[in-house]
Amino acid sequence: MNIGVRSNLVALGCGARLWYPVHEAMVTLTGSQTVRWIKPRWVPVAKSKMFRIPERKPLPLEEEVELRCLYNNYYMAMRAIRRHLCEERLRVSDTSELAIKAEEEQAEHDQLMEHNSQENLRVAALREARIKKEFEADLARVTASKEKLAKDAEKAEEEALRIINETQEFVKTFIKREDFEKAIETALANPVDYNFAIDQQGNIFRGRSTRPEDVAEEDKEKLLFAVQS
Amino acid sequence: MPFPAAGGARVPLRTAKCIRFARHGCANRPFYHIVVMDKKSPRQGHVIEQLGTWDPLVNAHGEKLCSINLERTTYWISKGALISEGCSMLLGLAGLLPIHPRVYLLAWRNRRAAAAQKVQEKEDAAQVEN
Amino acid sequence: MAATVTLQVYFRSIFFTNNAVLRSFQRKSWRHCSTSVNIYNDRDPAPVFFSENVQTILKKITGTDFNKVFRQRFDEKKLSPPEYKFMTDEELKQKMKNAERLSSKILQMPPVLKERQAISNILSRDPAITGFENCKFVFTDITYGLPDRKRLVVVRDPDGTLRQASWEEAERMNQIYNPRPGRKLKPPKLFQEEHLTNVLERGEYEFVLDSACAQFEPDDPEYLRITSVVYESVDKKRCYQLLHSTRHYGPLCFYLTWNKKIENLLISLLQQEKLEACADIVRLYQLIHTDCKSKMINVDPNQHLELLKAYVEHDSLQQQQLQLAIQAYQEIVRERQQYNENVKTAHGL
Repeated sequence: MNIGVRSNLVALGCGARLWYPVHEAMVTLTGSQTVRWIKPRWVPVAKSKMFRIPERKPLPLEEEVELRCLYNNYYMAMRAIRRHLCEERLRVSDTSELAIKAEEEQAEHDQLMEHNSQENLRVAALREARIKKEFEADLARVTASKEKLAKDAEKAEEEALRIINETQEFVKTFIKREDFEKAIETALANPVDYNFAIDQQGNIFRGRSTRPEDVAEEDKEKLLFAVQS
Repeated sequence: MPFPAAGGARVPLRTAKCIRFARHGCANRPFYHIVVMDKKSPRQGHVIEQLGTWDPLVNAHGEKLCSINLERTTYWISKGALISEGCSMLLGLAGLLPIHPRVYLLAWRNRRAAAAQKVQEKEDAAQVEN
Repeated sequence: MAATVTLQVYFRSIFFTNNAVLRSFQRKSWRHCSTSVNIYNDRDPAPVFFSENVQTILKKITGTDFNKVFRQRFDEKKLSPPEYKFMTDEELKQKMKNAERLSSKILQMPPVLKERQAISNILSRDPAITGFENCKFVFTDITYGLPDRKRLVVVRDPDGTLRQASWEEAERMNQIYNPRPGRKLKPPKLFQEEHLTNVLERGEYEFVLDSACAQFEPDDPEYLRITSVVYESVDKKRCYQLLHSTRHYGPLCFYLTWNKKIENLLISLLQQEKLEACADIVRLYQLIHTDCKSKMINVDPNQHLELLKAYVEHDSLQQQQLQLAIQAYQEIVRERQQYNENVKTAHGL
């Protein structure tokens, strides 16, 4: 409970008011009062005590001698112990369990590295074999595709030759300029009737004016793809 | 906590280190950690390493308990860490170091005081009888 | 010299306390009369207990009743609801194998050791520091990675003696600086005489034994005392079945066999028609007491009944009762055979 009421400065018991608060009473809301009977940190040494030197109790002579002896022995022993511990540490750090463990670890590491290199060699051999195989496969594929291309080219040549031959055959039926009049005349002389009719049985009757009765039963022309109903 | 009580302070390489107490109790209940610290850092400052604990109050079995990590303590002593007076008294009592002269001093003063008190009591008793 | 004297005093004190137990038992009920608590202090039981033959026999007679091994315990662990599953035969086999492995872990027997020797190792004397403090200083080495038994605990007495801490002090320090689950800094009141008798009368043997295992080291004299009191109580009330297929059944049988008190156990086993277990116990007896008479006679160890009879004839202390029990057992077996035959003839087979 820091919420409280600060009382006024309280005077010392002698009745004189000091210029600094000797204590500040905190009255909390619960009613309890905390008093800190202490000089604040920022207050300097009192004027009357400014030049007082605290008296030092003199050590009895025999005690002093004894103590000096004891301290000399103690420091000597401490120096020896420190040196001993230091030597021990240095000694232990080379041949200690830790060092042995480190050695073992190094050996294990070497072994693992050896294993690793062997594994690398094995994998390299496998890889080379695989690459060789792949190269051969590539070669085979290329030769196969070459052959196929050659075959295709041959085929295409044959096709072209065939087309040329056919066209040459076809050229023979062309109407030449000099025969033009004659061809017109023959066409006019022989008109062709392309009309035809189909009955329900799929019979074809050529000609515009042909009647079904005119055609004999055996001469009737059938539709190629008559509907099979 | 701004930093762990168990240690981890970073100090320059050649600073003087000190094995001493860091107070971790509360009001009227002291409890100390035995720690390695930079010699110039404050009592509750950042700790390099905790080496043990020290409970200066007597427990129900009439014992004062102290725990020390001997391995690390010897390491730091061998590294040349200084030891505060209280700590060296404790380590002396533990048998790791020779007993500190101050322990002898306090012991013989206490013994002398006890003897004096006994004599005083005897005299008082004689006076009462007379 | 001083150490041996204190040791003797210690043993005598144990003996006296045991007599006190005895008297309180006698006062409370007539069933507890003539109890004498035996502690392993004349011969070291550890090499016998850990020998392979003895271990196999003990494991065999402990039995693995899964319903009892995996029963719900109130040990502050969260309970999980049961799970029902359809499984193939292979899965079931695998599960059973796992359960067996787990049960062997659960049924691991606490070791039977000889009482430990008190520590009286004085490191240095420095009478010049008497008067420095009126209390003891206890220093514990908390070096990382030390096992509790090897941890150095040192006490500086008010008279300036630096000595190694006694077992009790060292255990207390270990519990303070390196607490173990289930172990209390102060032993529970359960282990005091008056409370212990009360609990044992209620038949909570396994609870007492489990708590003793958690609280004490196996070579602690207190542990030995409590276990032997419990075993004696079990023997008196003949409720061996309460400890069957728990981890304490092996040490119980070992204790009884060691102290030559297996008659009641044999009788109760015969009444439950467990002849093989009887034979195992007799075999255990012969292994522990290598100079017994029944071992001299070579009986085929596969003939359980013959083995038992040889023991009854030569080594038993209560021959008549055991023979009666054997006869009763044989009678029952014969009657059952007869009954089966009768049923068969009635069915016309």
